[in-house]
Amino acid sequence: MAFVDYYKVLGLDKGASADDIKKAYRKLARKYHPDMNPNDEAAKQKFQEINEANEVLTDSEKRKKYDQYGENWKHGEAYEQASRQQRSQQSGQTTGNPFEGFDFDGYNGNYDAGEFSDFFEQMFGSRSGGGRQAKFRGNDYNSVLELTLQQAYSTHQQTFTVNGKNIRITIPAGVENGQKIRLKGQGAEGINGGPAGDLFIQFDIKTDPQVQRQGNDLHKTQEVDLYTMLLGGELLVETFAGKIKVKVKPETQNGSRIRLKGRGFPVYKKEKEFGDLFISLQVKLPTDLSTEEIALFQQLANKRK
Amino acid sequence: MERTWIKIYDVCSSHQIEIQFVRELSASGLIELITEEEMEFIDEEQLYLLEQFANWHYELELNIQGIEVARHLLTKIERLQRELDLLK
Repeated sequence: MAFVDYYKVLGLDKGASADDIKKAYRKLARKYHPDMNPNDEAAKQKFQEINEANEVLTDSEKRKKYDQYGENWKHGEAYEQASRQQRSQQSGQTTGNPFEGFDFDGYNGNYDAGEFSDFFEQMFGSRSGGGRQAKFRGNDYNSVLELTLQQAYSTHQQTFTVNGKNIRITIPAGVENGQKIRLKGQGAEGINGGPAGDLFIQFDIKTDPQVQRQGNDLHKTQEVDLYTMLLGGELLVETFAGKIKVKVKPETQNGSRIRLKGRGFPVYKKEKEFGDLFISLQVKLPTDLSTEEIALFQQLANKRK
Repeated sequence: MERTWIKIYDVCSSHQIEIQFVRELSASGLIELITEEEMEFIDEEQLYLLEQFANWHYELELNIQGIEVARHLLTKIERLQRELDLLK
């Protein structure tokens, strides 16, 4: 476990005043704050180091201990014990190295793998003992979820993975392309016990070759044979909710539009409310006419002259 | 779409935020407030923004102008990251 030079982390020297420390911390916190560096693990790590340095150097007791033992921090407690012994014996005599002759490899302070370095935990114990470190909210995650228009039509559940975490969400029918939803607390974990960030999911709804969506209305072009357009009849139209029968009036003009009220897209978060479906009728002329058909069409044409 | 509005007074008191700061954010267009019967409200969907800006202001000592710049640049990063993801 390496010694951490907290002064160096904050770009200061040992004589730094409380004000210098505060200023240096603020400056570096602004630079490396996870909010300012989305999805940047290196910045997050650096931010934790800065926080740790600030925790130690702004606490007079911790700073005193840190300054006193410095790189010999590992033997600090033993040194204190030795000092006490020496004082009681009133021996006053010290060797060049006060830690000489002590073997404290067995020392294993009170720490676990928390947000602060092992060095901090060993020197000061777990910081879950009333540190006055500022808590920071975790980073927000942003994710894009692709949906087909058919998927966006009905309420359904989807499971996906964000940063190794499986998340299952219910997508309400009628979500819009580009719409963002927020899942509170599903972002990165907070720093120093702060709340977790949020997960934002943006929906990317693919265009459908058959149907166009305009708000809650749907627009579809339907081919109809010449005879139905001329004489009227019924046609089956494929919709997201299944096939529906549509009546075509006699002598319907090419490009005519039929409006089917309430057969469009569901209105977001409004149960049983739908937009309208507009069907543009496009005549499909017959091809590969037989001689007889040509003759009949000719007869019709002559009647119209 | 249904929206939930929360009284600014309640938010400020629970988060220990100065009401003037919230008004300044609103005046800069960083958040949206509505006023009903002389009371100000914030959309619940925007609460996370207010929390984030308050964090930047009180912990990082960013003023309103700094928050505006940071927000602008972060939005830009987010957009570029999305473009980059699409190109991958």
